[in-house]
Amino acid sequence: MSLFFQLVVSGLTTGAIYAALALALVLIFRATNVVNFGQGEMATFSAYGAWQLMQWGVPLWIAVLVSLAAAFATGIVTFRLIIRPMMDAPVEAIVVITLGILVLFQAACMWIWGAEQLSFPSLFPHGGFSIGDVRVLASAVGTLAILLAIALAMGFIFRFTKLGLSMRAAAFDHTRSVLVGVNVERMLMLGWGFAAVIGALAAILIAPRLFLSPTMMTPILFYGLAAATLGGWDSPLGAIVGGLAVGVAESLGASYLSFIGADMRIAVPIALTLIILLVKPVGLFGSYKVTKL
Amino acid sequence: MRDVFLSTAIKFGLFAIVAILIPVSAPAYALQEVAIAIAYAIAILGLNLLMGYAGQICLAQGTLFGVGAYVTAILNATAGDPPLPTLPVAAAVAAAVGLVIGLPALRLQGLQLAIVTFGIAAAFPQLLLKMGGLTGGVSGLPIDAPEMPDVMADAPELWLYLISLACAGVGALLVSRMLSGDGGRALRAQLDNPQVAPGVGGHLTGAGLWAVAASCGRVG
Repeated sequence: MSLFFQLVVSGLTTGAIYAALALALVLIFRATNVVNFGQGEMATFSAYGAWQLMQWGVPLWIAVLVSLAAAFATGIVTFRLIIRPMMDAPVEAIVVITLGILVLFQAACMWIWGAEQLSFPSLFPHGGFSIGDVRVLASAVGTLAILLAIALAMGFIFRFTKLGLSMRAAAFDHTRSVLVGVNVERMLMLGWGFAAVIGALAAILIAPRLFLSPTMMTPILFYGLAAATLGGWDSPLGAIVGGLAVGVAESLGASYLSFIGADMRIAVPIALTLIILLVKPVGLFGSYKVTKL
Repeated sequence: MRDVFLSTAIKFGLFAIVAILIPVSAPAYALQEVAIAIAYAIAILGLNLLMGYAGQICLAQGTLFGVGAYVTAILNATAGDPPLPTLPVAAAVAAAVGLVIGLPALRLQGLQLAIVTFGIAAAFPQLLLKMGGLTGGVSGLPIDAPEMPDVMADAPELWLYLISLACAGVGALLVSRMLSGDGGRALRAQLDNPQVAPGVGGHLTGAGLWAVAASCGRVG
C-alpha cells in the first residue's frame, strides 16, 4: 500500500508540471482557438536561456526570473509575428504553423546550445520528509506549491481585475469586445505572453529531473495535451485537475501495467486522450458549444 | 473540352521531358536523392487526398509510411522475400493501419484529430523500439537491393529512380481516378464529415512506401 501512495505522490509532482503546460495550452486555446504544438519547445528555449544566464554567473533565482520575463516577450513576439497574420486561416494551416513553431524553437536550441544533455540545478533544496512509509521530497512540495501559486494568481487576475475581465471578454467574442472598447489584440498578446511564462516555468521545474536537451519537452507536451483534453480545452481549472490526474495515471500505469514499461510510457497519455475524446469530447470541466439558430 | 485536353497534354509533355532530362543530366548521387524525393512525393499525394480533398488533418502520415516500409523490411529480412513483390502487401498493411487510425476520425474533427494523430506519430517510433525483436530496434533492418534487370546492373540509381517514378505514376493515376469518380465526388461533398478518408489515404501512402524502403536499404 505504501508503494501505491509513493506512486501517487510522485505522480502528483509530475502531474503539476503537466498541469502547468496544459494551463499554458488552454490559455492560448481559449484566447486564440489555436492548439500550440510548439508550447513545449518555446518553454525549453526559455529554460536554456536560464541555463545560459547561470553559466554567466547569474544566481539561480534571478536567472529564472529574467528568463521568465524573456519568455513573456518571446510569447508576444511569436504571436505578433507568426500567429496574428494567420488568425483567419483554416485550422489545417494553423496546425502546420504551430508544428513549425515546434521545429523552429527545437532547431534554435540545437543550433545555439547543441544536442547534448545539460544538467540544470533544482530550484529547491535536496532532501524531504516522510509520512509513514511515504517519502515526500522538498522538490515535490515546491513544485506543487508553484502550481498552486500560478493557479491562484490566474484565478485572481481573471476573476477580480479589469485586465482579467478584458482578457476573458476578448477570448469569448473578438468582435463584440472590440465594440465595447477592449483592445482585443493586446489581450490576445498578453494571453500568449502569460502562457509562455507558465510553460517556461514548467520547463524549468522539470529540467533538473530530465536534464536540459532540445527535445526535453516533447514527451511532456503529449501529457499536457492529454491533460487539457481531460480537463476540457476551455477550462483552466480543468487543465490543472487534468494534469494532476494524468500524472497519477501515468505513474500508476507504468508501475502496475507491466506491458507498458518505460519505453511505451508515451502511449499512456495518447491512449487517454483518445478515450476521453471518444467518451466525453469536451472533457471533465469543458462546456458544450451550443449554436443558436 | 479541347482546351482542357490540350493543357493536360502540355502538362504531361513537360513532365515527361523533365522526367527524362533528370537522369540524363544528373550525377548518380543526385539521382538517388531525386528518387527518394519522389518517394516522399507519393506519401504527400496521400496527405493531399486526406487533407486537401477530405479535409481531415492527419499528422500520422509518416506512421503509415513507416508501417509500409517496415512490412517490406521484415518480409525481406526474416522470410527472405525479394523486396519488389512485397509492395502490394506493404500497401495493404499500411491501408489497414490507416483504417484503424481512421476509425476515431469518425468521431473527431479538426484539432482533436490533429492532437490524436500527432500522438500516434510520436508513439510509433517507441512502438518500433518496443518490438525490437521484429524491427531490429535502433539499428534497423537491412534490406536487399531491389532485383535489377541486367541492363541496369551498372546504374542502380537509375533503376531506383525508374521504380520511384513508376510508383508515383501509379499513385497519381489512382488519386485522379478516385477523385473523378463517384467516390471522389462523395469525398469532396463530405468535406465536413468524411469517414473512410484516412483508410483511403493510407492506401496511397502504402504504395509509396516501398520505394523509400528500397532507397533506405540502398543508402544504409
